[in-house]
Amino acid sequence: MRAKSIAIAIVCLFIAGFLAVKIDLYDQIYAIDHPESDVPVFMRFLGEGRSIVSSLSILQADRYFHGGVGHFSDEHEKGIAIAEQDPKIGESPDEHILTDLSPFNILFRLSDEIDVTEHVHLHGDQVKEIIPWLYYAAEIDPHNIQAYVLTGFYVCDRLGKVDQSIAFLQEGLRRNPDSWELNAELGRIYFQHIKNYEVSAQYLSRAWALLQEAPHDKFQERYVLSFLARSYEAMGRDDKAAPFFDRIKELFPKFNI
Amino acid sequence: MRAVWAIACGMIKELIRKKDFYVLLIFMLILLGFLSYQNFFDIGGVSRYVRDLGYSLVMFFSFITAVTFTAKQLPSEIAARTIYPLLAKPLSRQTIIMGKFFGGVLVSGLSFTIFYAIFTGFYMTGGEGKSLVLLAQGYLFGLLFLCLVTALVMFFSNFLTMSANIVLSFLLYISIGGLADSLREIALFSKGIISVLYGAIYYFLPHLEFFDLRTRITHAWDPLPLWVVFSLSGYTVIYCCALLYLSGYMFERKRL
Amino acid sequence: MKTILTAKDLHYTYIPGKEKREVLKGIDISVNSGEIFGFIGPNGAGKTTTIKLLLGILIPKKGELTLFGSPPSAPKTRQAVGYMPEIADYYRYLTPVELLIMYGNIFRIPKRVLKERIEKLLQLVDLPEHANKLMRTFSKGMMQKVSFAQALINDPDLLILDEPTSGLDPVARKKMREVIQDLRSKGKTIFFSSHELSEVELVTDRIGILNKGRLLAVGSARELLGDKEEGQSLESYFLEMIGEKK
Repeated sequence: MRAKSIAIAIVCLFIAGFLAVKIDLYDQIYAIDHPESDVPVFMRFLGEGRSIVSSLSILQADRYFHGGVGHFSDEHEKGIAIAEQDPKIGESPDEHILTDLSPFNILFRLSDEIDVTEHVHLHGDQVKEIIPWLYYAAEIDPHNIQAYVLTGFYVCDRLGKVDQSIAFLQEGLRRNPDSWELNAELGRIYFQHIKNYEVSAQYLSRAWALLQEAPHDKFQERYVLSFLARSYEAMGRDDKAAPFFDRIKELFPKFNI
Repeated sequence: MRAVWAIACGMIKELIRKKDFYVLLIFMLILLGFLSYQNFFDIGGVSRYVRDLGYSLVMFFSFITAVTFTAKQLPSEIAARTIYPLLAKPLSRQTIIMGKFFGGVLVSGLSFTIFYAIFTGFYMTGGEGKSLVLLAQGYLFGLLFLCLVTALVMFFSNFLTMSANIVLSFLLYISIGGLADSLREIALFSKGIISVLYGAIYYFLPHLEFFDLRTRITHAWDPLPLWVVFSLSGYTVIYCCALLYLSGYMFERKRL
Repeated sequence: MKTILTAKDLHYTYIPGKEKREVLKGIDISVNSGEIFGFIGPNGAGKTTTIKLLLGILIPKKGELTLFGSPPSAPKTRQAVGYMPEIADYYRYLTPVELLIMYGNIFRIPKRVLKERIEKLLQLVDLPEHANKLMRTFSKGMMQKVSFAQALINDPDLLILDEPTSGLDPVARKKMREVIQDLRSKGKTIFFSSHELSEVELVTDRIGILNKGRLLAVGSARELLGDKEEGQSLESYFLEMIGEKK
């Protein structure tokens, strides 16, 4: 009886193993045809909620940038996006507005004291602290372009990891081949940090082409065109650079090139 | 006091012999280990997010332990009918409530101490701005938080089923920060009866968010002034006494 | 003989929602020291309510109830009372020893005395080999034995037993009867509620028959059956009393 049970168990294990191999093969073939399905189970479980979690992760990065205090909406109202901030503005005075509270209003005073409301920015090497949240934002939602661009910017420009930044942005581009932002960011990095103007021009040209098909403003157009024009200029191809400079002049007549 | 201790000791044995705590402990170790060994673009020394998530896990897991252990105490005593031999003993119903509360605090406090010790290990091994004072404040605030949560759950268990109690406690835990901020703002920036009303609700609410030192510990802010530590300890004692008195009063009148 | 338990005109009314239900309609009981008093009645007769009143878990709406001359809820009274519930699923994460230590500490029994008493009690209920095993593995019968042991942890003068033999095998029942009689011989008073009429007949000195909140008869089995024709059992007498026998 016991030997029979063991034999049945072994047969079952063999069948399970055989099925597992078959299912895995099917899964791999399916993933080739449907790249969307090639994501971890947890991510699949999140479904459409992934974009929300990813955005929250970016907000968290912003909180970290401000020493754990959320100022994201305030600064967006002022038109300052996280990646465009001047590190020097962190020296702003304490923005904590102390409410004029009666000393007897003990709970309100406690709350005021416990909450951290000072406005600071991370400096220098400290910026690395925001990277995990930006990285996870991109990992959670591979179509969150902002997450890739911000990560690329901080890793390259603030932390000096140019190669890693390029690899990460290229991964983003693989997942979002039609993103002008990622092409532009890669072009900028090749222009500013690698000084490989040929490659930068390739990326920026593609960014420029994609930008035409996407809703955009003149500042974004200027951003792409200025790097593209300067890439051609650096390559000694002034003929190719000139039309782009003209276009910038057209967009911003007072802009001094 | 011996009766209170006797009841509380039983709950500690429950913690030790049931799997719940070990599952949380292993889960926490795995998660913290995983977070610590993450490598982002070969950038070393990234510590704040480990501190942040580590502290959140410590508080959340301790909260889970406090809520689940305390919420089931009275309902399971009644369901298993062990409440009758207990009530037949020379102790008041207030003492039973005190024993269960004390047990809940011991159980969650013990779990919290172990979780916090692990977190301290991770905190001390990396990152900038290490502050032992802040760490000690975090520990004290964690214990105070668990006292308040246990008293709250004990109070709820007089009129809620176990599952409703757990759900309400979780909702309160999740929403209290935002709710308190909104109430505070309305109370401060409105006038007349509205201000008084919202102010009263603000004072009435259990301010679980006061005990959260996550931002300070994660981002190496200064420790809190001593008057805040004492005030918050006093607040916890007063709130717990009020809740336990009410729980005892209601349990005294509960028909069993 | 000293009267330990006195109930006079005991009334109790449940008010579940708005509907009132009078469970006890004025019962009078007195139990003397060293006596075994059997309390029998059909389901819903009011036995459990009476026991809860005796334990001070419920407060009577009308009437007088004293144990050792004091109200049942007085700490001094409870110190001298042991109670074994009909069903109790004791803390399965504890061992019998730990359970008895917990209850012993509630009674403030000195540690040395408690240790000795626990050993004796576990011997008495035939559980010494299971003394340190978690109760989650225990059968209903074993749980009943633990329940009996905990009722005796304070060496009570009055023992209130609610269906003490339910879940026990015949051997354990016999042992329980012997223990109860042994306790009586040591001067303990026992208030014994049961459905098992033969059990009650065998053990008790006096029997009280309760039906629909009224105490219909009180006396020894011989007294109750005295006027009846020879051979009539307590069961048929009981059925006749509660109006179930035609």
